[in-house]
Amino acid sequence: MSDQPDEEFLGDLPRMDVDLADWLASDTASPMPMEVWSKLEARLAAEAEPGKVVDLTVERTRRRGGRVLPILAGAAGVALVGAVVLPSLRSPDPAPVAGGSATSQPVVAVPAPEVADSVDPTSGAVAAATPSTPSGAAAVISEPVLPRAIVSTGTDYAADDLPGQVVTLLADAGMADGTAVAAAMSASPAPAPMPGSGLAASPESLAECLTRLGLPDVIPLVLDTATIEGRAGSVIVTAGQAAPDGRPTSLHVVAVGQECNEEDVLSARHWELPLR
Amino acid sequence: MSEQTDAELLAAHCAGDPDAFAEIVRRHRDRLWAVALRTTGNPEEASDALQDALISAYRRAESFRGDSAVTTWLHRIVVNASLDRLRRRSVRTWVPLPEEGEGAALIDQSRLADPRAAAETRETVAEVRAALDTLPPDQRAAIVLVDLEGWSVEEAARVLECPAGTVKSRCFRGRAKLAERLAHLRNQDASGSVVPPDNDEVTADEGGAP
Repeated sequence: MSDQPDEEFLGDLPRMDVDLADWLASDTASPMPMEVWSKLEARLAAEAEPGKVVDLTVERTRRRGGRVLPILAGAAGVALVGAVVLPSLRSPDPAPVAGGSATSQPVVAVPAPEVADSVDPTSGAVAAATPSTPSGAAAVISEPVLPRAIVSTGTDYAADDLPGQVVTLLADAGMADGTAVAAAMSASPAPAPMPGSGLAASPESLAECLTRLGLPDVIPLVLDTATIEGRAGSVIVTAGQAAPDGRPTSLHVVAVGQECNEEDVLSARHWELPLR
Repeated sequence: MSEQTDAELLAAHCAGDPDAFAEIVRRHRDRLWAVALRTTGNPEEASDALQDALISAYRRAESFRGDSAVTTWLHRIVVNASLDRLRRRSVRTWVPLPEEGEGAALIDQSRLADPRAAAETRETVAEVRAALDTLPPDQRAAIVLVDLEGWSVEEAARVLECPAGTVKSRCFRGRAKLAERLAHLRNQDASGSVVPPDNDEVTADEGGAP
């Protein structure tokens, strides 16, 4: 197609051919679909009230230190790493989300011991103690659990934009708020076989990765094969804190490299985000 | 809040009002959506372009100098975001028109009462969109704003940040291409079937015309 350079058109623009005008008029404008508006509104709300985004990465990385190797070794061997996860998060089966106490419940997995005491207590993140892994013990690969949604959005995640990007990701997956997230946790997971490559290739590869990341036994809500600040990788979203009624009030987001190998795990980013 | 002008809302947003910007977007969302959809030609891309554009506008609202209307400024950002996506896209495809029901929102509702008319409209819309999709992005954006959205050439020039003469030139050339690519629609008979010009005589003979 020849696209000549623009030239100034002097004089009036001629009236459009009548037929062409009719044809163009047949394409009437449609209003913005509600789902588009909802997503947009959520993004703008996230901009207006970004909430407290807690970057857990540094602390996790520091604490992970020498433990990552035993944990990786544990991918082959089997020993138990304690994890404090409420039953509703452990089980892929529909089950009522635990509730009960008047205070916030540690619903999110803070799976590996190095994490349990690393979370900023002011963030309301998990503070439950978890059993230590005996020196040299290997981590258990958690039971493979399918994510509730597996997507490849093409998003390039960036730390500064993360709240809005995750809001959009969850809204697209039908999990715009804590109630919807709770419902998704009780719902059937994405159908097998998993459609992607790398982490999205199989439940086992994802479960291994989550274990390496110190997140065994969590139900991954969404797995997005994407880029993180320009590098190929995956973003995994799990539920975070929960209200007394069991409704999640925060999300745990991990950005990890494509293969989730040792190097990827060491450079993984972790955040805790508030959830409406 | 609804009493405030767009400019006042934007000023309120810059002053920290958390709801002001969303109110501006709410007022103009359908027009912004229409421009994004028609420029990108794809609902998903339009949604993404709109989000990119409006988040960008949200963050740099203080850069708005007030030398154009707020809506012009917003449309400019949306058109640019849509064109960026259009230019990046190597293969441009329209999402097929939805079937009846789902597609009702795209189509003149009054025509749906007549199934044949509705089918004709859907076909025409599909043809128009396919033809529009073949235009270079700049011509397409000019046609979308002037001929589909009804902006004046001068308003479109402000949105596209180019001289009015350039907008006219893009519209003129774009229209010529569209007319050429849609020429076959001129030959549709009353039933909506396309009758190739070469077959006119044969059809007349078969119909028993003198």
